[in-house]
Amino acid sequence: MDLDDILALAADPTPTSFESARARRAADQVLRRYADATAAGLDVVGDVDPSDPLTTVADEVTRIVRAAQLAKLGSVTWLADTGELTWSDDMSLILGRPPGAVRPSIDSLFAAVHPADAIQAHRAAVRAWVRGTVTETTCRVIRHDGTTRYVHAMIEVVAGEGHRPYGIVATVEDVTELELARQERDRLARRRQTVRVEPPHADPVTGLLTRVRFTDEVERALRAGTGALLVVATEMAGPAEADGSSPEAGLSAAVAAFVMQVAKRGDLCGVVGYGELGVLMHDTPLRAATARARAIVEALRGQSFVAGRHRLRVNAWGGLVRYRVGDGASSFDLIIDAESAWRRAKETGESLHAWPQPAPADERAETCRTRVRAAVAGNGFTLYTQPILDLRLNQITRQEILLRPLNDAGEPVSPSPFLDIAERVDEMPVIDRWVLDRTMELIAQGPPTSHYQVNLNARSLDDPDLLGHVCDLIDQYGVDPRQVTFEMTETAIIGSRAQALAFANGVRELGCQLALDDFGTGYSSFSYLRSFPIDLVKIDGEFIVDIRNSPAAQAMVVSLVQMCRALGILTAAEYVKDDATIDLLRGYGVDFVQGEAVGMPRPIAGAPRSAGQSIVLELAVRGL
Amino acid sequence: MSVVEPVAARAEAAAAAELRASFEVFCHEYHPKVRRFLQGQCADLDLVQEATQEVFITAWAKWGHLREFDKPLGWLIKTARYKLMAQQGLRRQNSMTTLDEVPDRLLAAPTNAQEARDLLAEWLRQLPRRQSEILQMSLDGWSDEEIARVLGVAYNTVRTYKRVARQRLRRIAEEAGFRA
Repeated sequence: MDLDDILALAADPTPTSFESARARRAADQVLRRYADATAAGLDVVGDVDPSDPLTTVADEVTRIVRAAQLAKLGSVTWLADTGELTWSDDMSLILGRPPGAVRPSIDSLFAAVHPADAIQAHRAAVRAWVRGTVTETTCRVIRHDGTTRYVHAMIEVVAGEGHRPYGIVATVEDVTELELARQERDRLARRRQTVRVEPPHADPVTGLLTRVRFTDEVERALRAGTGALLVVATEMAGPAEADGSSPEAGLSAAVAAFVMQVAKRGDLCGVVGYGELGVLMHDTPLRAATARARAIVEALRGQSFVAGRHRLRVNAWGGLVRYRVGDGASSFDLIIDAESAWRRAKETGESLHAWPQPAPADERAETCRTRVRAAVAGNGFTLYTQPILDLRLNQITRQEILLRPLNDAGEPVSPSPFLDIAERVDEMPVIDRWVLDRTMELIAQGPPTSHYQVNLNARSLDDPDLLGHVCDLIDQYGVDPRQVTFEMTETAIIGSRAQALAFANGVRELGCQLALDDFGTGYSSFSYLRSFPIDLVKIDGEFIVDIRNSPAAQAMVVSLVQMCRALGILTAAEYVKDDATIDLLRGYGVDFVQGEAVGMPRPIAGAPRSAGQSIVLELAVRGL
Repeated sequence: MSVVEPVAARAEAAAAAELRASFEVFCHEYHPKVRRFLQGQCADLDLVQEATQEVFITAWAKWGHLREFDKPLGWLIKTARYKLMAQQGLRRQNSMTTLDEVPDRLLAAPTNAQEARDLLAEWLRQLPRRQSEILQMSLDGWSDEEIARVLGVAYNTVRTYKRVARQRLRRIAEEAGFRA
């Protein structure tokens, strides 16, 4: 069935029995309502035109202007012969001028049109005249009182004898309410498209809650009652496969699935750290939680896992800590305590260590501080570099220096859990100095044309001695300061803005550059761009990973790049995962990109590498 | 006097009855047509009902004049448009909720004239007002000149919009799954 069939079917003029019945009822109602209205002295004819439109003799202009008047719409008439322009009283009202107050002319008409719409309105009129037929346009007019209204104009070409065009009549309607409603509908539709209903909850590798999300759930549980938090640390036991293939991703997923299976329904499982899974047992007494935790750890130890072509066993240790409302510990504290507990278990050769309450705050801080300092003192870190592509040259011109803590087995691991702890106990400056020292050495050894980007925690910028230290290093290693960009990683706890600013200005005077990292998330704000002499903004990867499918991310990145350009700031995008994304970002005018598509972080020469006797489960800890 | 009066009264009553009867016939013939036209313009049946009623009340007020028309449907449509626009204007001021467009939905193929008309009306309402008015009158068999006169538009506007509206209608029909 097509349109013509439907039209043919609909064309049947015979009224249905229902329509006939309604018409009969209507006749009675009409007579009754007419009688009531006249009895009440109401005028039922009003401004209705009683003449027969089919027999009335009138030219097209008269007819259209009359129709507009009856519909209470404005009309504007232009006659080609004389070039004369007139408009109706209703049109005057639409323009917000009393009828007769303004002499109608093309100039006075366009003087009332919003300047931004004037060209479009004028074009519509010209188009109608040139094409010789109707066109419609919506534009804004500014009324005499300064208010703006939206008007719709139907611009018709009128013709006389022999269909010869002789003028234009525009029928004009104030459509402000309709237009605002339409704009609001459009806006809501756009918003539905661009707002992300919920952040991703699940870790892509394991399917567990992400670290951020799990921490959040622990926080919620802490406020709501009693329970216990278990952190299970796993390590692959036994020698790695001779062929060197990596079973890690498959294994971590298998381990995660197994833990979820053994844990009681209702227990929340999440990624906590490198090779660490958290199990939140809310509303569970310590004794029951301990028994369950022990069961999980023992089960893990007793299980053999299949990952790809590999059959593997894991070592596991559990750390359990009980929480209660009013403990005063945060979710972060609780996770640290559970981690300390599994370390204790590992040291003492137990499978599980349980603490009946969170550790005292100072004790916990001391434990963390000791861990960080021991790592720094024992060179428990290594450096990676990640290539950065300069989109103007399509060439890798820069490297970002990345820190990787080493685990107990001396292997580099994901830095964020460790850095979180260091930041909490204010030990980042110590780590940053470690990185700076090694980086300057590295730069001195590398080609003099390379450019390096080094991360500095905002807390380090507070350190009044840091600038002097940087100067010393540059002198000591003979580094060209123009080879170095310092990336400020902003945090909530910037101690002294003045001190940080002094450092920022100081390093720029030396000839180094300054970048703002993770822009667009966390604590970064526009005010940094005004008050700090930033040379480069690194747009947070959250806006880049899925930018090809996200109109919202596209809009934000486009605007951000535009703003940075205006401020004289370069832009870089992280987490670029494919060539199509690179092309998109190049089109937006982004200056630098880094990520999977350009190159993954690689250990610098001579650094410890991850291939040894026991490969630790790599869990994707960086949840977005 | 006393003899004449009943005769005059009887004649008057007979004339009144004739007038009323002729109006009822008129209503019966044209009420469905006016309603059908307005349904192609407005989805709100209350507004359609009220506008239709008002047109016929006016028609009754002017019946002596109107009954002389050759083709009174032209006047009815012209007047019904204004009544509907006035009703819609009132409604717009009172609430913005009725401004939502009719949602697209896939319908089964119509099996009778009424279903076909309902479907067609739904599609016509998706066109700009002038285009749907012009197309609807053209489908009902009016000539281009008549349409121009009834709607108060230029003759070449009718010619252009008839073509444009028909193309749009075909697109809407195809989107709804009715392909040629």
